[in-house]
Amino acid sequence: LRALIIDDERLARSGLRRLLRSHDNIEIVGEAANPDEAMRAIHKTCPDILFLDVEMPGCSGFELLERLEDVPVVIFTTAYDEYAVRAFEVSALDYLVKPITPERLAVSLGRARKAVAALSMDSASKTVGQSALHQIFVRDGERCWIVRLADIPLMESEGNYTRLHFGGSAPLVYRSLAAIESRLDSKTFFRANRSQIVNLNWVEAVENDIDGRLIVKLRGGKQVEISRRQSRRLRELLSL
Amino acid sequence: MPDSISAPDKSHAGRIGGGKAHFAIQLAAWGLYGVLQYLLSSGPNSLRVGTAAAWCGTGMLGTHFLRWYANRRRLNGVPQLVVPFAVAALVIPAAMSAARLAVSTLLFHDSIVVMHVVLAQYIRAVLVVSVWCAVFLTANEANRRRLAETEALRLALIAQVSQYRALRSQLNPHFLFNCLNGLRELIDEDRDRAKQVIDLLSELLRYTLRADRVETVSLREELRAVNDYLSLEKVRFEDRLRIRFDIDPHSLDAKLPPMLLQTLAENGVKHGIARLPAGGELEVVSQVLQGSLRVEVTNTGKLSIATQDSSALGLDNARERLRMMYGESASLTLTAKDENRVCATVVVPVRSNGLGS
Repeated sequence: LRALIIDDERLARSGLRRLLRSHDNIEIVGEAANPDEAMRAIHKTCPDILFLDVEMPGCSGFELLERLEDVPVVIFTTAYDEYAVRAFEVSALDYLVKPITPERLAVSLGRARKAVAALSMDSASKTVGQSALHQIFVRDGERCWIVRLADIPLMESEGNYTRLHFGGSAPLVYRSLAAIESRLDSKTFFRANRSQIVNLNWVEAVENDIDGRLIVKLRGGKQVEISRRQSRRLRELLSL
Repeated sequence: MPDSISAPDKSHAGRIGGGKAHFAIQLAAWGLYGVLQYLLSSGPNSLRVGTAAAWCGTGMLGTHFLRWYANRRRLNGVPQLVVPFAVAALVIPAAMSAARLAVSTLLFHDSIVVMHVVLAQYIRAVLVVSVWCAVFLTANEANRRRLAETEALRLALIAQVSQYRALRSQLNPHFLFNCLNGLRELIDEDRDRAKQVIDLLSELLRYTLRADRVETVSLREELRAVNDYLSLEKVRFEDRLRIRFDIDPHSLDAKLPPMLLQTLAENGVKHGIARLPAGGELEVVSQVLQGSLRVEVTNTGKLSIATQDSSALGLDNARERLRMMYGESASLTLTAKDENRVCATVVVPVRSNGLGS
């Protein structure tokens, strides 16, 4: 596993580096002391895991994640846990409180290893250049999620924003649907009509409408009408 | 500040007319009245003594019973007492007249009962008992008002004390845990420095515990704590934090609430320097001006950032604390010194040790 440590305190970084030394399958590919350094390091090294301090100069750890196209597995580090606990009510996300203990770190690494493995199995993404799109960071008001694309059944365009429907929530991300679509695997994500993209792995049933269009029923109860042109393509895709 | 503010003894609070004092006054007043009655009357000596004793004794017993009744029914204050007292002012005199009549006719066979004399006696008794009631009600009302005032003061004091406790600033847990995290690494990296950090942290913790118990400290003590705090932050921020002290030696013995400057320094680090990737400078300047201690804590940063979020609350707390201790003669202001510097200014009167001490 390739890890990047992001923390504005040198002692905190070298402390974590020292703690990680006893885990031989972790390779530390870099360190960053502020968000700008972090962005550069992430683009350069494409780490599997980020150790990310929630409180950072310039912008918070959350703002850094918002700036990332594809979000690796993240383990937050924080001196006082209220921040992390409050923000992440939904997504299964890990955080370590400082001072970090070796036992707790081992538990986190175990989880991270599983998460990285799961992401690499996802067929949801396609590789563009060097980086693939596996998960994205979403913030809607006070709530935050790091959501795997494979877990999103439906995306909806709202102007320059895209509304993501998953797990009972529907937050907006400031990215156009077209921009997201260009990073998606077209075998998994299907453009249903002008404003919606469905995740084919979430399709429960496909029905014929009266005028020859298809209606897709998704697990979780949502229904999506497929445009006439796309209905033809979907029939070919599913060889109906 | 006292540790607890006890309620006044409630057992007497609901009763009207004090205990022993009431008996003494009651005996003295009715006794005096009885003597006067005796001196002003005419006829055989034994008859004069007998009628005066019956007259005043009945009055004393009657009013005593009235007080007992009011206490038993927990009647208090003019609105509750006015009706029973009015009735008593008619009934007790009747009893007094009857007792007098009984004594004179039965014991002394003074069988001539003149109706208008009895009526005149009755009216006199009504006046006497009415005066008794008026005096009693006035005393009772005064007592009641005093108790209510004491209670109101006590409640206000409780409110102030608890508010004051809540306003005391403590060490930020964020700072504490970051410090410990750094210390964990320092133990491997630089043992001597680690020992230093433990010393600084111990001093600072001891100071914050003491700050809970004292009203004011000297600027000298407070600055030592601020220095300890900033030295610890320097371990975390290293070159990103630059510290400068400019202290007027005359100001060192001036008193101020503990942890006040520490809070300002912490705000400066948290909202100013910690947010800047390149760090900044924190400067503490003190002087005594026109009988006031004036301390400025200036840090690199933007005022707009400093006044957002929780910093405003921290300052509000500190302000409220100052107001409670010094009234209007102390102040705490946050201003932009220039585009990139924020300055917190505290002014505290030099001579006053605070209202509470």
